[in-house]
Amino acid sequence: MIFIFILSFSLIAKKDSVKNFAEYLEKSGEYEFAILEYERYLFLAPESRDKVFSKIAYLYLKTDNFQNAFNFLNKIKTRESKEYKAVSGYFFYKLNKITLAKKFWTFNDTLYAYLTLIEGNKEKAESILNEKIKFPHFPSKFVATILSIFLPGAGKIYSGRLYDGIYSFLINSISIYSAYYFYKKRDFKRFYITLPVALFFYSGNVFGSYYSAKIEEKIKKKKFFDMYKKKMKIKDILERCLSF
Amino acid sequence: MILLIVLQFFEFNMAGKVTTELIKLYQQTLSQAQADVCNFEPSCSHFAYEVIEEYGLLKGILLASDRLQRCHPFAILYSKEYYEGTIKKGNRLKVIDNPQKYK
Repeated sequence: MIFIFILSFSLIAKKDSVKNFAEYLEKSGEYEFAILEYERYLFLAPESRDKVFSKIAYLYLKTDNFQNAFNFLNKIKTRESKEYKAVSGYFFYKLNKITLAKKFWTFNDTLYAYLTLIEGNKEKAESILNEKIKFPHFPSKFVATILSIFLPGAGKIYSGRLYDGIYSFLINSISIYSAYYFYKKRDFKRFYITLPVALFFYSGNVFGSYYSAKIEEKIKKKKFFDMYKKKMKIKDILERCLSF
Repeated sequence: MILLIVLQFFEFNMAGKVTTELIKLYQQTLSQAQADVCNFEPSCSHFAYEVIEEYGLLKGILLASDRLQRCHPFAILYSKEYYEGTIKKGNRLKVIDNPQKYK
């Protein structure tokens, strides 16, 4: 129904009203409909071809459709334009290829500073924001693994998961102790059953500690960088670059 | 000869297939007999089945072991931060733990 409405509306609408409607859809988060509208605008205003392609590529990136975004980026002719650089940088930023994104975002100091902050260099971002940036403590995967090798569950507690750590410690203590108990009693039948169980839980504890540190690091980094993304108004800058 | 059989066992992922078949057997027998006790969605056995299918035997077993050690009543406290939220199944509130995120 909405699709038919958009189709009929766009056939009779003028250039500016198509653009305004596309912008409205974009602001409402209806990215796929906004793309359709921008494609119609392209038909009405072929002179803004590159700018519209950049916008469509940007909207595809918002919906995580990397393949279509890439196709539209490839259609842009003027590679030196601000729009092209902004969207290409955003493309690599979304793919977590920060070094490549930096190559495109050199045209804007704030965008560049944000990428250097992600890489761990806070000086540029500090000078833009006029405030001291303090990185939070990110748990080390190496430390979590080593801790869990010596004391099962300790790696998880170090990663911030107290209950997982305690539970892991209890399971491992019981399974390791039962294997040791049967070994001490020279009851090898039971020992050969309990030993693989103990090894199963012990190896899972080491691997799990590594993974929980990895996930914790990812969550903390995301929170921290999202906070600075808002503070540095990255979204606004990108949208300003793409407006036409 | 024995070495050849062992090598073929791993080369054609026979070990993984045997393990997943054993999990299936567990799901159809023992799991049916007991009440719904797992704190997660998908349940630990389904999770183990999926990770072994997707990531291979070694990583699958390690992830399954880790999952069993995370399956306790307090897991719900971490549902917002570490997992993908909760889902109500029957009378129980279960924590959603998607196997895809362990790539």
